Amino acid sequence: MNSQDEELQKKIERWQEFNPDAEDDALAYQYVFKALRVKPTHQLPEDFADKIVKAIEGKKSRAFAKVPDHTSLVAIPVCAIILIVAVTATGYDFNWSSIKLFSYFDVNWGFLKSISPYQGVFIFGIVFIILLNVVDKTLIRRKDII
Amino acid sequence: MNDDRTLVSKVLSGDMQAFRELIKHHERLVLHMIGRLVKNREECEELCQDVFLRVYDKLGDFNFQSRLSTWIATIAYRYAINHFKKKKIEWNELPEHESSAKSFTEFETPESLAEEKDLDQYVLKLVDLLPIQYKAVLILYHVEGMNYSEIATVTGMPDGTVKNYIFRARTLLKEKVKKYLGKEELL
Repeated sequence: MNSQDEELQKKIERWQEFNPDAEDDALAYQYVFKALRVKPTHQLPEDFADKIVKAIEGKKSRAFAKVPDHTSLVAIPVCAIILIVAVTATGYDFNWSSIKLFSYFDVNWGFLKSISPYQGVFIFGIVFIILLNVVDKTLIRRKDII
Repeated sequence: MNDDRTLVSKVLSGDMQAFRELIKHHERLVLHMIGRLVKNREECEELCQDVFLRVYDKLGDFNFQSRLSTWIATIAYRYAINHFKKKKIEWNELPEHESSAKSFTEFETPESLAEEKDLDQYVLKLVDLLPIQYKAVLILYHVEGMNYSEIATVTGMPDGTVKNYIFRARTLLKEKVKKYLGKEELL
């Protein structure tokens, strides 16, 4: 450090008023100190705090939605019961004997056979729904956090 | 400090109105820190938001070893530095040697800067050309009125380095202003 400059900086920092008659270095330092104290003029929007609070609350509610709901524990047995009732009531025949695994057997999927010509549509549907969810999670929902 | 404690405990108990208050108290500090370092307005606002989201997430870890404002400024400083690294934005290297410091004072002043009539604006534009660490310590010292030790906490630099950077940055600016004033006298 240049001790002369250091002393001068300390001295000018203590000065209360601008001295236009100061020597070159002192005058230049005064201008520097004056400019450095200028507060930036740009401001954040009025609703800045509200936006952040909203983003936090949105994040919290999404996290809450992710918590496993105990109703799912009830829903699974209920679905199973409904399935059994439906199968019994309609007298549906699964045709178990025709369901064989792997290709060297003659594959007969029973009730699925009637929809087998449209398998492309079903595969497209599943892929589309998965993609939609991925896009929703990664792009759309992220926007309101920012 | 007691106000900080009350405010923090309210926020931690889930009072969002208290967090709004915390933001209002410190948004200028964060804006000054980020705004002088990141010039793009949208990016600056986005970073300020990220800083406060981080503050909210980490508020439980704040242990009152420093003032709340110092702790928030630390987060803002780290976000600004990370932003530069992530965006791979080049910043001026620190002039460690006298020769590189000399190159700052002797570099050709850009035309737009040379034509700046307002001396305050001229100096502030010069500040923009300084290395990011110099800019940060100058803002914290002159705009936010922090002392060397607080700036050291915010930036993670030793006290002596902070003092040295402030001194050197002001010396570099003084040399450029001296040249500018000399030119004005010739006109």
